[in-house]
Amino acid sequence: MSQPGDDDLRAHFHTLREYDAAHAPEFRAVRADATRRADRVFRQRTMTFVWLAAAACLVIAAGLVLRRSRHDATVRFAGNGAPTISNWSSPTDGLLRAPGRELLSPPPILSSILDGATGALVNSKGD
Amino acid sequence: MERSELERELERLHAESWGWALACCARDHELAKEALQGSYLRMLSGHATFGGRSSVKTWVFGVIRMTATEEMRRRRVWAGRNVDAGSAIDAADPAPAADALAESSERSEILIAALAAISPRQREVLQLVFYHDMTIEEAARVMNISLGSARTHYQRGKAALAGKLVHEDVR
Repeated sequence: MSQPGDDDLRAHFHTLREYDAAHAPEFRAVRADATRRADRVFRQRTMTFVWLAAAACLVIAAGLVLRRSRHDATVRFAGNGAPTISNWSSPTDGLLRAPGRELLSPPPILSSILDGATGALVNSKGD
Repeated sequence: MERSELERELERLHAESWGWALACCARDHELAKEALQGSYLRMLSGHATFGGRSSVKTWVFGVIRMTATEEMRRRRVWAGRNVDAGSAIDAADPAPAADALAESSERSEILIAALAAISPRQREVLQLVFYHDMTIEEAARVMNISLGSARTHYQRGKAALAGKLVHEDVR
């Protein structure tokens, strides 16, 4: 049997084309389904966006509340009369001051120089 | 192109668009319907625009082919990687749906079975040339391949299909 030529192939395909055309859905029905599908996708995307935005707002609000409560705790701690490290003095500080400490401490350098000089002038004028 | 004019063109080409969507979707009616819906939506919403570089029919068929490819890929991902090779778009066609075969004429049955046995590219170019009466150049534009490749697929596909049809006729 000889192989089908172009005309035979075309006849085969045209038969298939007629069958498909007879069973094709209506254009307006496909068009309407397309519009409904687009609306459904749009609604789903809108709801997704709304949920994501709400979740983001919740996270931000929680973050702000936590930050504020930490700040308030710091302020309360600083304002309750407790001494800061800069002005705190040890209760045993007095033990560090030994009696007669002033006698052992060296004289101020500048005043000793001037005292010696002025003392000599006073004594020479008095002679 | 004005929207009303585009809608008129789409309605005029609807029967052929349906046939092409079926061919792109391995003759799965539900998938073809979804592909056609998606294509019409793309064109009417302006996501796909007609640039005037080819005929309206070539442009419409290109959009349908691209949309059908996406639908097939989406279905493949949705069904997981367990889809057998026979239903993959790049593999040979699976056997056509039983209800489609039951209702079709004997000649169509033979042709569908023969088309299922040749490569997808050869099947596409033969469908576009013999079913939709396009030139090989127009078929190359729809398939987004070079004219030389389209000619090669056409020659080899025609020889393969003719051999399958003889074999089916003899059985």
